[in-house]
Amino acid sequence: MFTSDLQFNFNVFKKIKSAIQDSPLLILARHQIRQTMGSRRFFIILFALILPIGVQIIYEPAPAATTVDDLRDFYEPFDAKYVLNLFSPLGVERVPFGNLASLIFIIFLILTCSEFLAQEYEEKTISILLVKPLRRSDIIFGKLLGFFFLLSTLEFLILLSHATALAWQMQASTEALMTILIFSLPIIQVIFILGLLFISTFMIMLSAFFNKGLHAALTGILIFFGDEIFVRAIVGTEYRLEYQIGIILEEFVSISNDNLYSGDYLFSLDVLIISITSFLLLTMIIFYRREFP
Amino acid sequence: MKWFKLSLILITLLMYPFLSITSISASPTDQKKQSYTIFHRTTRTTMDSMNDNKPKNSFSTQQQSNNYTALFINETGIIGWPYFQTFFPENGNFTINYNLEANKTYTAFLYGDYLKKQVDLDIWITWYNTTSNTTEMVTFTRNHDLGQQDILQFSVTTTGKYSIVIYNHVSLEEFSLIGLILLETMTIDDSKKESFHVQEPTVRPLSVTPQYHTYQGLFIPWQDTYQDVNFTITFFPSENHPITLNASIYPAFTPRDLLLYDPYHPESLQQALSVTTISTKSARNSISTVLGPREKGWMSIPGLIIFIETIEGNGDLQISVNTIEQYDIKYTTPLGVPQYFMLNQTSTYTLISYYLDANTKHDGFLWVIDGLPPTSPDNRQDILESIKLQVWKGSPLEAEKNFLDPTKVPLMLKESRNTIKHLKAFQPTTSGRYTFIAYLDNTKNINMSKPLTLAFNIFERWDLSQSRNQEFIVTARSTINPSEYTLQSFKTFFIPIKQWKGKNITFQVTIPNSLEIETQLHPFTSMTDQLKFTPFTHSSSITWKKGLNQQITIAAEVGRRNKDKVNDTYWILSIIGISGSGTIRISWAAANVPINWIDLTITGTILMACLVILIIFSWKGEKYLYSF
Repeated sequence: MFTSDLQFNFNVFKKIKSAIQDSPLLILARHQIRQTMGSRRFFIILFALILPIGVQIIYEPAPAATTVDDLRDFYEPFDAKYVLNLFSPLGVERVPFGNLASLIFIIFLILTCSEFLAQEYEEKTISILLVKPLRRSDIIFGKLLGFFFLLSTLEFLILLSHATALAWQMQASTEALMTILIFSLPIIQVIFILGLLFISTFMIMLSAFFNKGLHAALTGILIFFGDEIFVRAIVGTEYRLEYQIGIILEEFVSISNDNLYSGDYLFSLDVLIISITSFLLLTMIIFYRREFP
Repeated sequence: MKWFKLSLILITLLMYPFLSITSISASPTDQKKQSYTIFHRTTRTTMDSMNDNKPKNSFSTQQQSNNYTALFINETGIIGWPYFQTFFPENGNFTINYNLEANKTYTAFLYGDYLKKQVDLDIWITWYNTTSNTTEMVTFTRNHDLGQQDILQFSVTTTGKYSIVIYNHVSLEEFSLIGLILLETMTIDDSKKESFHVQEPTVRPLSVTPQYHTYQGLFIPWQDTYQDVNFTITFFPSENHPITLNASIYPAFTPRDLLLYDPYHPESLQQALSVTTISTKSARNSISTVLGPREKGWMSIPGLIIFIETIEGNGDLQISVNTIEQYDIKYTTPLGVPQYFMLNQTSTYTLISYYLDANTKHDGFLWVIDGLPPTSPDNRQDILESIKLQVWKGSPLEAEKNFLDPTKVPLMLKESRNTIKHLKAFQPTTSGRYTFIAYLDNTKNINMSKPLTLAFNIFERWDLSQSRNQEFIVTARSTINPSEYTLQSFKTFFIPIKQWKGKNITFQVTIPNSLEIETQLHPFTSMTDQLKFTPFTHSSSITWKKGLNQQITIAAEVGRRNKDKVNDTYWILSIIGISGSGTIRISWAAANVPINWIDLTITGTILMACLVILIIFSWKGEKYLYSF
């Protein structure tokens, strides 16, 4: 009886393990992680992510905390501005080296995402992938998942280490540290994920459309910087990605003393979800309808 | 010749009172005329200086007949009785003996016109040891500055005969008159009673006038808690011993007119803060209200002098000093009222003084209102960086003295790089007066075209998570016109509200019938809010209520005003006392704001629909997407 139970349980785990190992989606995701980590661009993105926080910790140390909410008062606005700044390359500099970090982050994010499918077309490796027992959507989602998992985990570690370093720097209590880990960090992380999803899904759509990665990248850069310049100047700042994620972020954390992003956060969330879904659907349509030699 | 002699006698008799007055301004060089007293009195007594145990260089005082009214019981003086002396030369001295009791503290005041002159007088306290027949030095003044006040506070370990010797240490100038007064020191902590003994005089003075009986002098040293507030001095007679006495309270001004310390002088009574008669027959405590020192314009007096004139009975009396929390904007600065001032190249600092309670957190704000150059950012930044704020313990006078002394270090120093400097959660270790000094550090050689207009404000911080209820006592004056919203605020709480985002916070203020108050809730969020902020305008407040209601409830949602999103960082709850007195109790409660379920459901549905579409299309992609 006992052994059979154990045997049963063991079999379940084995099945789950094999299902994970054999899942084409996860195989592609793992492959994408390995591929991304091996490239030089990844380290440049990592540098861009660490730069403002590193500068703050080393060159602009925060004053010692006198009350419990001091740490939160410093961490929340800084990291919220840092995350919003990442998605607005020409935005007003609000964190140290924010503009530079954002410029590097956006350009290299676009460059990396534009090659997801376009590089496969270019190097003709797509035909090898297509003859494998894979759904075409697995290729899209697998690549996206791997890249996305890698970057969001790293960002989480960066935010976590910043919170810990700041708590040590400000000599804050454990209570104060736990407060920001529970209340501030998750929402900032969610906002980063939303922004990243928006850009990466848009770029994979372009990548599925163009034959060459460079063309997708150039189009992406043109659109994003055009958005930065023209939408900001002509249409208005509230139609930009930074503003929309700012509305959601401001609902939960204090970014500044002023109310910077006014609007309904649920509406912004709806817009973002629908946009991301449409980008993914369009990618799938383009990729499925495409004919390969 | 006979007529001439007669007229001479008559003239002498008629001139007698005037001659006695002239001894005040007796020529100091004429040392033979060592007249001990001065005021024209109708009574006469023989004064013996009783130098039984003369210290070295003693100045021999002869038995002289003069018009001194002092009383001596068993060859010793009476505590609280003023003694006067005219000039005596360098190294000379003047001695008065007292019977002092063990375990008591005494304060000796030396005053007179020597204070502004190049004279240094010292007070020595000596004790005649009866067992060894020797004179021992107890203590002496260590102040050897010319023309400086001599106040000597000393304690006595054994009961016995003590001599107070006034020793002329240096006298480059001659003085006309000095006075000495010895008082029993009553160190009364806030709301604590101290008892002392009152004795009916065994020996009546020779004066026949009934109001001039014997006196007992008490000295209440100044405490930080008395500053800026009004306080009451209460006498509690014991029930067993019927006592009826008069007490008069005087401020202990140090360089003051001699006659004001002489309780016999009719004019001295006019200088008294209050004169009160207490009696156990009426079984009522005697209370006399003393106004705050700033109200009277006293900034640095050492304390209060109480002269007690016992009329009937012997026994113990209790005395207590209680402060009244009562603000008057003319003289005091309540927390929460912004102070506006200007700084320019010539006046480089300003002093703002507050009474701060220990173990209470305070948030201070210093901000620039006007005067910054907008065009040249470098100069603007230089000016902003040169604005500094210091915090010192003590009165403005002490703070200024310390501030100007480069060796002294302030409690806290803040520089201003922004237009607003936030002094966060400043918590004094001891209650007392704290002075904030805002100044321009001119080391950067800044160029200012026009003076800077700045404002400083400090609030009492109330962290909502720490205490559920806040209770305090406030006494309002009935004279305040309710229609005038002056800078009168009795209590202002600075409430950090950020962590309560999305909650509805209700403050409930319970007030007695005797009090009419107004409560206001203000936001204190952005820089613009801080600039506009005056705690006494209704326009900037979230909500306010006024009236004689038993309970005033004010509530608001953190982070939202009606439907608009606002970034609430702090709230300020002000209680403006309009009239009456009593205890106000404030409690608060936080409640969740009802969720907008419709919007959330729509968003959730959209999210789920998107996910379902994505899953279906990716799973069955071949089926749909090839034929799309």
